[in-house]
Amino acid sequence: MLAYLLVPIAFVAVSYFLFYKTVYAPYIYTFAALMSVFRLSEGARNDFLKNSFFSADYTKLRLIENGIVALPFCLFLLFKGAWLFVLALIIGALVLAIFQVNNRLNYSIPTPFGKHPFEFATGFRLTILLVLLAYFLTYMAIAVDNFNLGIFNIFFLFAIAIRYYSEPETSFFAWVFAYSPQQFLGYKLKIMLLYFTLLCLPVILSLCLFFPAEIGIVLALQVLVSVYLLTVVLAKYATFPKQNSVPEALLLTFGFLLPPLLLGLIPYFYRRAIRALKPILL
Amino acid sequence: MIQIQNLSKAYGRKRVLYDINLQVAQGKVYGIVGENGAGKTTLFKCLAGLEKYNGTIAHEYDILKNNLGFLPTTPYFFSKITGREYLQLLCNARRIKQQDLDTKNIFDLPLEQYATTYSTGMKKKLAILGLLLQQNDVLILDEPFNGVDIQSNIVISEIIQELRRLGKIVIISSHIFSSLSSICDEIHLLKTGRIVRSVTQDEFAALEQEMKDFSIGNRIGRLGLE
Repeated sequence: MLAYLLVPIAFVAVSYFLFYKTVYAPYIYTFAALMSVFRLSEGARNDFLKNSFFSADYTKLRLIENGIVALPFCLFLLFKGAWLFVLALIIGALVLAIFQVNNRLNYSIPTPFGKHPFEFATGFRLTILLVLLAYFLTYMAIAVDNFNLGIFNIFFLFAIAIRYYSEPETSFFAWVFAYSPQQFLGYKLKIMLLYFTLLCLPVILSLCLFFPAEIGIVLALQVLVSVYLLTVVLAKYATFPKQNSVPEALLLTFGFLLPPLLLGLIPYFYRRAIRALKPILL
Repeated sequence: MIQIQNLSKAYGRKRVLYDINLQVAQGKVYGIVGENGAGKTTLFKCLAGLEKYNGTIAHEYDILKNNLGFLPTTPYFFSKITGREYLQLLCNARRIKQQDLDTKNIFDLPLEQYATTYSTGMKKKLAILGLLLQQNDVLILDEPFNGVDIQSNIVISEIIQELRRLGKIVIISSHIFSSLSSICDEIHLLKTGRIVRSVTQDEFAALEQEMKDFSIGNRIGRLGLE
């Protein structure tokens, strides 16, 4: 639910911010759009669709799907007068509607998060292009001496990491833990803090190195987004095994907009998470 | 020893288990047979604590599920998680440090590959391996032989025999009666949510014949094949 509320606003806000901050925005924007479309070309998914629909219907469906995903990006690029990029995006979306990506290769993307699966290990692999984009933007921020663009990447990585916790896992994967609810939450939060710091480390270190006067801001923001993510994890388990609903989404939104509210929200979600986990873990 | 008394389960108004009474002891292998929809999987989920139920399950453990490994009919795997990471997850869940997964990979699974790309049989073998690495005292295996190749079936049967020797409790369901009769100490027949027959080894042959007679009946004749 949180995503439904935030995504349209965040999309326009991020688009504006990107075009405001860098001249390379159309390239980054088109790349991000193509990556979103690319995800729909996943092999197993398309095999299923091919088996379920007649060939002509399948092609129509894939064209419509890619069109829906590419449309918001196209509209914003049109608004910005980036005609060539719109053309490139349309051609890319058409090509990806016809071809599919085979993911049944004997190859897995290496990850530094394999010791404590699953959230960051699977999430990192699913969003690796976005993570690389964040690192590239950090490089660009340093190259053009734009600290704000660098800071944006901490928020960008936070937005990516939220996705790792957006869906509750099947209750089997909580049940399997021989932990008390408190120990389970403690373990999940510890791994989240460790791995999120690891994910952000290239950005934090680069910004601290190239903008030494702003180290305080960088570290403060890192702490803030870590606390945000901690709240997201607690909110996820507050309704476990069900997905967060409108009240949790609204509370999280208010907490993000007014960080002092988190002082009340964190214990609130923690208590609810303990209650929700008790029947599964004890 | 685990003692199940008057265990009942309903999904809304639909009752799927009626007053199940069962006693399972260490060092024994128990089989549960029954047609599709008889309630085998629901019974297993209740035993594992994955479903709420009425009745009691008495045992000697502080928390039964912390000593119990459950193999679902269709094991679930996260997308983009390798076989090795899946095993690591199961070991982390029981605070077990695994040093040598490659040696313990008795099914020769491609552990660096994503588990979702495994075949049905490989997925089942990976899930079984995970349960074994957890060193559970009680194992509930829902259709462990389904989709698994014949060599691995032999290995799984031998593992179950070894678990019995180690004093573990093993409860298995299977549609293949012969695979149960060769390894179980007791077999319980579940029919529309009730245990209707419980037999020991010397009665297995009679139960198999009874089930065969019931299953086939006059069905073949009704086809009118000439």
